[in-house]
Amino acid sequence: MNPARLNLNELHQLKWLLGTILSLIALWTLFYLDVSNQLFLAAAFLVVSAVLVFPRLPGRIPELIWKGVTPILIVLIVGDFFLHGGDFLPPLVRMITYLLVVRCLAYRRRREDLQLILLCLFMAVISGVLTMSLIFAFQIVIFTPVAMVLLFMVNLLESSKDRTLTLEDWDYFQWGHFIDHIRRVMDIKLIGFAGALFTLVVVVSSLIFVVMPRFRFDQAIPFLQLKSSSLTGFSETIELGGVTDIIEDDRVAMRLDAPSKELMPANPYFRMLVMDYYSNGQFSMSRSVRNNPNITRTFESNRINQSLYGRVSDTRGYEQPELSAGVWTFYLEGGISKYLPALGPFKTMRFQKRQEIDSNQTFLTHNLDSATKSVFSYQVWTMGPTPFLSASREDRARLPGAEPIVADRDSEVWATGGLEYPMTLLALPLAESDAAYLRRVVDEIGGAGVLGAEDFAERIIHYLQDRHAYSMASKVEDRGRDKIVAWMQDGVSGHCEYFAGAFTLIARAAGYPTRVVVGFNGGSWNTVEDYFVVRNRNAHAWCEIFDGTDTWIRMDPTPGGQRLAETGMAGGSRVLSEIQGWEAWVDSLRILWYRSIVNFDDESQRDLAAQFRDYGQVFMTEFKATGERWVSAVKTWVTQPLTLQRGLIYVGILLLIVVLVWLYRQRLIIQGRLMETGWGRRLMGNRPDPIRQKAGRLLVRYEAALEKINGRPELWEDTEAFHRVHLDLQSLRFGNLSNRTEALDIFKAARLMIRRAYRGG
Amino acid sequence: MTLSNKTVPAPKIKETLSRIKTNVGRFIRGKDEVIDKVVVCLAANGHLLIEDLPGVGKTTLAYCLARSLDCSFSRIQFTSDLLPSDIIGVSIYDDQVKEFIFKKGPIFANIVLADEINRTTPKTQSSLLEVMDRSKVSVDGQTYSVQAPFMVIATQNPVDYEGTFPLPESQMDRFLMRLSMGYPAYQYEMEILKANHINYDSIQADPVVTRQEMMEIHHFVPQVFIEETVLDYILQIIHATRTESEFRSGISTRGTLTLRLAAQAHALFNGRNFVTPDDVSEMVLPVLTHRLSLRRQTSDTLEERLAVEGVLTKILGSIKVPV
Repeated sequence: MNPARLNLNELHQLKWLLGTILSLIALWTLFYLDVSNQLFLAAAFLVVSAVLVFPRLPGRIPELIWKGVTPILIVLIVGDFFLHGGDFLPPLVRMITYLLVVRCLAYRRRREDLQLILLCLFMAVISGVLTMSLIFAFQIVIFTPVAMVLLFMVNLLESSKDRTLTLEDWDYFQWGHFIDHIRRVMDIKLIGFAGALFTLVVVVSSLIFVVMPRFRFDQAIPFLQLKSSSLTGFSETIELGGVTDIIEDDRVAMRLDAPSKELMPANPYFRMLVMDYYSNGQFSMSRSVRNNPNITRTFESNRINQSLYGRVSDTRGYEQPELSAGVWTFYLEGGISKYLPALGPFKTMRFQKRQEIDSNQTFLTHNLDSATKSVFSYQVWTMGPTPFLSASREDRARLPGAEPIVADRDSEVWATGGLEYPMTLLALPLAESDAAYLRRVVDEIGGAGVLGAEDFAERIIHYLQDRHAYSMASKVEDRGRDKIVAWMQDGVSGHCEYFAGAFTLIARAAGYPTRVVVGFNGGSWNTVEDYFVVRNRNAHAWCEIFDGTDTWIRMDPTPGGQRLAETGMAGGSRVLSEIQGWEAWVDSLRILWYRSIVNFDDESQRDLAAQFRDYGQVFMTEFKATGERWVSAVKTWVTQPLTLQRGLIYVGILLLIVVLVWLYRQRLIIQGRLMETGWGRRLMGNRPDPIRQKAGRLLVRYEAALEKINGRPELWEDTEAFHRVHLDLQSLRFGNLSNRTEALDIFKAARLMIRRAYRGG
Repeated sequence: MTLSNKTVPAPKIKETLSRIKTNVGRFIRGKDEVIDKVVVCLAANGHLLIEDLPGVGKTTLAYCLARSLDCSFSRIQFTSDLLPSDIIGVSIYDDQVKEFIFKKGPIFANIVLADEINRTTPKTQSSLLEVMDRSKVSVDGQTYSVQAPFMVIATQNPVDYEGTFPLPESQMDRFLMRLSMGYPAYQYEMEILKANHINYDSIQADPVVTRQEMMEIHHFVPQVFIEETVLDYILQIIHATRTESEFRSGISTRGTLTLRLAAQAHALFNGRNFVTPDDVSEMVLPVLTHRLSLRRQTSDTLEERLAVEGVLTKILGSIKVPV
């Protein structure tokens, strides 16, 4: 028995401290929610931490201040909501934070403790459904037991009326002593019980999670729908340097579950958005593309179906990766982009829920209404990671033979309603001097109009890479020139956007329709959990050139970019880069979270149910088959003629059974005898004698049975027998065990008597 | 006298003790529980203090008990002018042999009834200390043993304070048990009325147990087996009295040993050669109550006794009984 106990005051202190710890955890979850001022949250966190470290603080706040708190809070909260009328969530979060801090700054009554738990729970739920991050899983795992213990304490202290702590109660409080005392009060049973309870809660919630109907909280509750702006490099208009800004960010942008490692291209290009229009260092999707319902279809669905085979063009002799028939699951981190990366055309793209989708049939890009705040997952069936895409009917009809359109940036040509797609693919809004320079470059490269698109493209790439080195930072002063033309003329180093931009300008000047593609290139394979990781630094820009008839060919002019000849599986000089070790391990925890929690939809539910059914069936069949095998084996063995050897085996088995039964029946006596010897005690430790234990348990039942006899006159004549057995039992429990050998008989007699007392027979 | 050290003849002892019980019960009607405890106290070779109002049968009980044994009995009426020598005896000069001869006092008997023990002075009370503890009397440098078995049965009135000297704690500690009688129930009082006994002198109680039998019982009581969890139970009760804030001080180690002895005697009285937790809990009130005093003031001994019994009962309820 553990003699240490907490007194009432210490229980109250513990309850108060637990409440403060719970508040800290709740505030911590808010840090990952990008709705509130981090400085504001940090201040709240600091205040609550101070109260935790110095629990006397609340007692020192003058009574007068509390009188003013309520009106100030009302003004603050109402004002906040009023000023952020449209935006509901941030003032809401701030309101909860105010209330939580106020609750932490005063010693709480029972009612206020319950309020505090509710506030914390609300905070945790909001940040949980909005971030769906792995760290939230960790936070909720700490949050739950703390909240459970706090609720338990509130219940436990229910009987102590509505007592609150006062400053005097903390007179002798010291953190070190308190923790030491708590440690001493803890006993293994308590911890075991709490652990079991917690496990039960986890198991039950997992079960509920698995079986409940799927829906996304953040989409089901209107005010939780929080829009996020995507990174500038992945929006409709990209300034030079937009992509490069992303490149400096090493955070994970996307994870991808490939059907197998073999199907993953060594150097994958994830297309996200395609831009047809260029103007002075700024690429954009032209208005005619965005607003043309024939090109950009907007609809609401939980899937996008494409005719994959019509989208992948002839490979013109290059060895190409095979089309995968498997399922690719993408997990796009929150706030990356509304454009959904894909390796190429696909058959079906499926979402967890109905979404509003813009699907660009010409560029083969797809985007949501806006970038999601939390991880967005989608699945793609049968994808073609190919550099050859079929051109749309419009491209094929209008692009062949089209001439570049050159005009000054201010020209009427570029005004609204002026240039229509697909002519934007040949647009060069340049000053005459810049256009003349481009024409000179085209002449210098040579072969324009004569060579096929891919050959001329190779020449442009050579031209650019001969003159420019790769560098993240480039110093260009345009002095009125077009930004990219200035870069070309100065011959300085540059990054992917300059190379892609220059390639586009030269190709267009030579009459080859060209477009810029932005997305991710590369990534690494996590060997721990087998999936592909793409980081923000993999952001990239490259080009697609029209071959003059029916195909768009991917061209990556940046040094290190993939050449057409390398795209095949065998021919590729690159191998898939891998990440291993600690980093890979930690990141794979995250993918586990995404795969099994975030991405767990009703389809997965059905899969799981089917899996269970299959396992059950397989198990039952196996079980039956094994049973039948055993039975038939025994049958054959038994029906064989009896020989001396077999006879001996039979006798042996029989003897073994007899010995085992005897040992089982005598186990208490043997164990007790063992414990009387020195080495037996050492072996079994300081355990009570098994006979005494058993007699004690029987004695409790026997004494209850004895009381029954009083009300049963027909048993009275046996009273003496009842008392004799009682005495025997007592002597086994409390006597000197001289009658140890009779123990089994006494137990038997006692059980018989108990039965008689209850049944009367 | 050969006494076996091995087996305790529990059924035989039970039978012997129940003879005493029956014999006393013939005259003290309706007080079976008190008589049981008195017999247990006798078996444990302890001294007994009976405390109650005058006229409820204290002296009669003691007298009947003494008469049930085939032993010498003496009765001392304690008064304020009683001197120690009146109890233990005195050395007087014998003219014929020309030396001092010790003339034994009434304490030299097997059973001594000390009536109204609190009526005498502390000096006289304390003369009982040595003899009750060691069964020896020292006079003029000479030590005399009293005959075994030796038992003091004292009576006192807890309410009347006038002209009394309350027993000091050291004296109280010498008594194994303190009991009180209480009024008899209606039907039993009617029987007493009909029996026509005026006082105990008219009681014709014959001895039912020999001195030899009594010695045997005293020999066997300490041999009664006590299992470890029961010992633990005893110690937990004792420790609880030491940490209880209502008591001025807890039970001494002598008190602990006494409780054990009383439990052993109680087991034998019930015909068992081992102690159960029930034996212990039965003995807690009679053995421990008079050894404890309250921190707060009470108006008289009776009130204090009831309060101490209340706290002890609470302690008993809070300690887990071994099963």
